[in-house]
Amino acid sequence: MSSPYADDDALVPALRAGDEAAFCWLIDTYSAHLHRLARSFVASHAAAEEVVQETWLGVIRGIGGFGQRSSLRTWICRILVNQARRRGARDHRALPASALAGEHEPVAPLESFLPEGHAWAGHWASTPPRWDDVPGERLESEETLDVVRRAIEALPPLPRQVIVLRDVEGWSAADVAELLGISDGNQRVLLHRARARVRRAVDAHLTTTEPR
Amino acid sequence: MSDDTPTGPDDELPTGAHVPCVEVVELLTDYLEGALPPEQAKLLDEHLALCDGCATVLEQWRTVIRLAGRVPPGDDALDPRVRAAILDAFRHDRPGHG
Repeated sequence: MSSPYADDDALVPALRAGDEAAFCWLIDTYSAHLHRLARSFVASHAAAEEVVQETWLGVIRGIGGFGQRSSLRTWICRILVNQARRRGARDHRALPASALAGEHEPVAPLESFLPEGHAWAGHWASTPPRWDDVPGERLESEETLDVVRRAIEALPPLPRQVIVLRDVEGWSAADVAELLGISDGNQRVLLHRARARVRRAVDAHLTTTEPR
Repeated sequence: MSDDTPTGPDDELPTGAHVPCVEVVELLTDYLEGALPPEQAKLLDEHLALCDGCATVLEQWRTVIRLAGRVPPGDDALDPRVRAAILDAFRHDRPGHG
């Protein structure tokens, strides 16, 4: 991003000074990302919109006291997560805690592996189909990205939050664990669960459907 | 290592080759995150160097991470009325050179 506002050291003082162009750049750059993150916490599109709105109002109220100990983006996401969690706790009140984390679906179906009693029990019975036979343009196509997006949206809340932050938005493991208030180990378990489901969805898409 | 591998588990292969694939694939996230203890990471290195199936899944793990990073955010920009209300709040709270 080549905007002069891409640098926190330029953007933060501009926001504090009431620079409206800076604020417009901020909300126009981040609102769709914030909406996607909010949507992993709350049950509806409308609730996510409200969370994003509340987040921006929180930013306006808090920017004067923002000490830049973290990046502006991290600080904004922290405000969003706090708003979204309050809201999500209401939305998901009826769900047992286990439903928030979901169950682990094995990376590959158990019948892909040699059974107990075999000298090589637990090793591949037949190797999984490779994706590098798939033409590059199909692997990288919008259609495949759509499969990834839908697989992520179908995840239970916690694995969804973790994969959105880690793999979609590119946050570090430590930042995600801190932001969500979970241990590093739990962060990895949830991330693994999420990636396993997304891999299976992509695999089903690439290895069972005819290319268009 | 497939069904027709001629030798049994107690042959000359490195120890990592004997870690069951069903366990290896469940450690891929920890492996890529560098979260495994060194001895276990070494076993996985050995395994992945010899096992096509697990190497394939590891490659797919990397592909999933890369594809996830390319998913664009939706068209969920702010509703124009909400945007106007937020801008109003900004002007009111931080009167500047807007």
